[in-house]
Amino acid sequence: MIGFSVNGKRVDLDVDPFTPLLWVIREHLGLTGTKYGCGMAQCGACTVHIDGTAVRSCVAPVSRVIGKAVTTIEGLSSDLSNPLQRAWLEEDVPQCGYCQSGQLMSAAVLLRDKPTPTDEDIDQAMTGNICRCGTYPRIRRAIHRAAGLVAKEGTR
Amino acid sequence: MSGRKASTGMERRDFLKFSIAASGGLMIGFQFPGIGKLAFAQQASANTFMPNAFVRIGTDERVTVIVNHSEMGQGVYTSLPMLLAEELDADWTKVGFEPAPVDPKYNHPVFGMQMTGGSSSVWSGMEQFRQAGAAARAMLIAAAAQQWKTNATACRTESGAVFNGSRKLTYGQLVGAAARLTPPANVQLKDPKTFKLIGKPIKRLDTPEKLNGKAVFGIDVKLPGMLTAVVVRAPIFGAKMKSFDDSRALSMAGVRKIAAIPSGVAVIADSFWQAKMARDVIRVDWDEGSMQTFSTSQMMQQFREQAKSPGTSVRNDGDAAGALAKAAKKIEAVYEVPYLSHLMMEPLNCAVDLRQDTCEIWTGTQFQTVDRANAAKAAGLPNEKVQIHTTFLGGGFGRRANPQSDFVVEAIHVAKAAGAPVKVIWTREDDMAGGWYRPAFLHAIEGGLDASGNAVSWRSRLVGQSIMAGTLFAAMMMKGKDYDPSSVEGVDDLPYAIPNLAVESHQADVGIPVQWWRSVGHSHTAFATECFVDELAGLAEKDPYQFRRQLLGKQPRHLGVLDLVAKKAEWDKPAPKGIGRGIAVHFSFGSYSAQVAEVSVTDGNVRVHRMVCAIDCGQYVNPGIIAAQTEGGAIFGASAALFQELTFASGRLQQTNFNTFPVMRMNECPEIETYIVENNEKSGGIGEPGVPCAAPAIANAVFAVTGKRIRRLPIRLTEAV
Amino acid sequence: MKRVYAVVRVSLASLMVLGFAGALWFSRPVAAAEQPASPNKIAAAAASDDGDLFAAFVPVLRHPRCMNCHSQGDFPRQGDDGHPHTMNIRRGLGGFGVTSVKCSTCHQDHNLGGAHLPPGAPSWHLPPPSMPMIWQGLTDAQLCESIKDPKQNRNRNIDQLVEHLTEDKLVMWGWNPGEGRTPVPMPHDEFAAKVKQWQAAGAPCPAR
Repeated sequence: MIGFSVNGKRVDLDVDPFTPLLWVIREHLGLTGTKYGCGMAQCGACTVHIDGTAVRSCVAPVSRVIGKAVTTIEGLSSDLSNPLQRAWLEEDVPQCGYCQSGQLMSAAVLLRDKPTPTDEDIDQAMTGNICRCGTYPRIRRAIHRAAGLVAKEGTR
Repeated sequence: MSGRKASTGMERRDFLKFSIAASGGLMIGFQFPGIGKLAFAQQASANTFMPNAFVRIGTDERVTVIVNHSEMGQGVYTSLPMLLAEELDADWTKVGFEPAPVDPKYNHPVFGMQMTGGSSSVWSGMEQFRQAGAAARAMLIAAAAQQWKTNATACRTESGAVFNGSRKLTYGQLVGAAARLTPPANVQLKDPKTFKLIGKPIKRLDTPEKLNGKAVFGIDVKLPGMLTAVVVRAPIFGAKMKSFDDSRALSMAGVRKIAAIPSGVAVIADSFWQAKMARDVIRVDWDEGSMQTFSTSQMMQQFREQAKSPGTSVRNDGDAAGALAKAAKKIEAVYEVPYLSHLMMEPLNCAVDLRQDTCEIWTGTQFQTVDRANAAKAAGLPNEKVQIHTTFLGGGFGRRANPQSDFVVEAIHVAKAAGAPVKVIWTREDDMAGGWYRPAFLHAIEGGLDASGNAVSWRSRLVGQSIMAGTLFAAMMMKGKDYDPSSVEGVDDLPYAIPNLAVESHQADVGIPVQWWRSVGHSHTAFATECFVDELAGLAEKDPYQFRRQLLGKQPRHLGVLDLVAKKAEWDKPAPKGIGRGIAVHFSFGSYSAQVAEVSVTDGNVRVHRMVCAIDCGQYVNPGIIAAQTEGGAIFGASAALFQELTFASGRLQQTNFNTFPVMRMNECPEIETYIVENNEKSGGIGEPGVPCAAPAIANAVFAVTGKRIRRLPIRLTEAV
Repeated sequence: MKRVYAVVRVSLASLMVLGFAGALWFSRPVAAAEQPASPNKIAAAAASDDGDLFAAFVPVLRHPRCMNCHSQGDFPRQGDDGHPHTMNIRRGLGGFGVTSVKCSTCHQDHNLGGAHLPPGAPSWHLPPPSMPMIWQGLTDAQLCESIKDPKQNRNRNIDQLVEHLTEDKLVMWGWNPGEGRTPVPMPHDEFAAKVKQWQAAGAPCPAR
């Protein structure tokens, strides 16, 4: 049995410990917001948080999260209240939307660690997340906007 | 796909044909020219008013717009509902969308089948969705007037309700009464001056569910008892399987079945990872076939040879050869572009529930009608027994409109073997190796100037594979022509006033499956022609922008975007130190696009700092979406120009994933500004026209800063001339 | 907004030249601060045949498996050509990457099976910015002195240094770098023996 928590809920699963976390999240837990894009940590579509660290779940064996806390896009906030989700709505960021879960999960760690990120911070933090539709300019604007919301409201 | 805007010859009165169903429920059928069959909308239920195939209104005030085009990022789940809601005077906060099932009534009004492509959804749906909204509104007004015992003309509508003086009935309150009414024979469309939604940057309706993981893409579909499959496919196009050894794989955890299917060996398991692990240990012996010696470098060499002889004439104004012989100055250049993968973020996938006499398919497709027909054939069922549930598409770019429905048909074969609902998932590597690429092309161009530096001759000779040849579209698209219009689009209508102009096409016969890739032929013709115009300007010792202006005197809309982009990019001022500026203009899919790129080059690496885009797509619906598509198109084009190339050696694809076929990333992305031209011209497309100008604008900017001409994509400065 | 981020991909040769110049430029004050002796004096003291003991294992240190994280610049490198790590990866505070792109975002504590999948070892990271341990461009003598210098080697004495070189799991990864990567060019036993020989002789450094 592999035990860990996902979005605050404890799960115990009978699964091959070498299975990538991504497929456990998607297939065993039915949380399909986390996406498969490359399977080799190239595109960032599968980004989740493990104890607060952004991780490419497509290359992380599920054994890595034993006893740890995993947060997926579904746990960022289901009611779209997270400042990043609000900013993403305001900037109308997504096109096809497939990469956006990963983009948001990376941006969440960026904002936590650097509440007022510079463009260079954004370049460093978001370069591991590919968007084929080309939403980068809007993602950049949305991150700055979310930072503004956090600064104004003092919450995250 | 190639979407030259066709005239439908369709009159409004022919467009809507109403009929009352025998049951007394309200239905409206649409009849389209060339289809000849009257199709009926499903019957409205007790709590809904469904005046036609495109809208359903509930007693809960919800207005659901049924959208017959697939949402692949281009915003049709917003722009098409906007058209309907505008005429309906709906309360926009109550408007939602629903993907249409496969049914002839949802056919593309111009292309005659249900599909998404050619940057055509909005312009082709403009009339359709507005009419549907206006018809529904008329019936709601009639129902209210009846209740109030007044004239319809005494009523007005606003934000989801009918008003008469101080009286008000919401659309939800009128559902029952409206459903009993006879639809109007004619409806009046709004005066564009009164538009409340159309023309506004309305936020997309599909954004919320794309921010919390709830949006369902094909890969997310889960059916009760569903298995997951991956397939071992041929490593070389045309290779045939001789035998396979699955002894190890069969004993692996979760593996349910391993079966030979026409495209290879399907491994069917409880989960994706189990299927993939098992697949990786299957050994297949292939008869590698005639493509085993194929290499792209040899192919390009053959293309170069082929370009030395005349091709099929596509356009011949004046006497290009004669004028060239007499030209004061001449120049020739050969441009080459590689095979490209669409590389949608969501790899191909398809879920199938195949029963004795029905087949249900869940997938992100651009090609419902074709997929249904191909799936029915593979399943051995009549068309009407096959239904497709269109999910969100994690990018399409043309790949999910496959003439052979490759990823759907294969899933039917897997489902036959599985004996249970099954989802076939392609790994990224499978997706990239799966073929149906943007064809590689070679353009050899010769041009001449007279003594005053005026362009007097131009001859373009193209060599490349046809997308249409051999498909069911060949007859439709190549009708009466012995060349493929999609190979030469963008050069056959070269807008420059050059009196002697010849365009010739060589159709190469190569065993690599090719397909429309965002902007199709324009993806390479714009690169070749707009770089060559720059080369001619250089030969004439003229400014590239002014040189184009002189040749575009009779092309006001080309000139409009060109002037706009030059002004916004401050073309007349010198570029910052170390920065080169390049310009390009191109017409495609009914829209005019011009872009200026600013680049720097350090140790052979090109960095694009800024792109300024101007777009003229005529009357538009949602400027927010237009800006997003234009920006996204420029980035898509820039990715290809800077990084992307598929190569083959010994018949095998050399690229496998994002590490070897890179996509532009955040830190490489330029600042982009987009300006939309305001006019009342006929609507054009927007999904693709942002792509073609990016490569030539960047290449011309590289020349401006390095003095090196870029004649091959992706840009490698070591190869520049 | 951002303007200039041209990450330059230069040839290894030119990097070595640049790195050499850079290393000379900043290694002087460091060396001067750390020892009573001047750099010249260090070189003179080490000018013995014992220097060969260091040279015997230095090819391991200079191999791309080691140099890719001990190289010039505030970022890791990849491949046998030492190109900058794709995706704009940065050293970050502590050498563990920045914000949402930590080393552990992609790298596990073990290599992943399959070509081009992220390699891994426990505590996968770069030297921290406060002590970046940049070897690229150093002469053998400078490299030897730098790894011995507690101010440049995270406060290790010679015994701890030898333990790090011969037993640390991240260092050991160099012998087992995963599919598609060239391992360091000397068997581990041989390397460990040579390092210990060098230690036994008083960890002498080459003259230059």
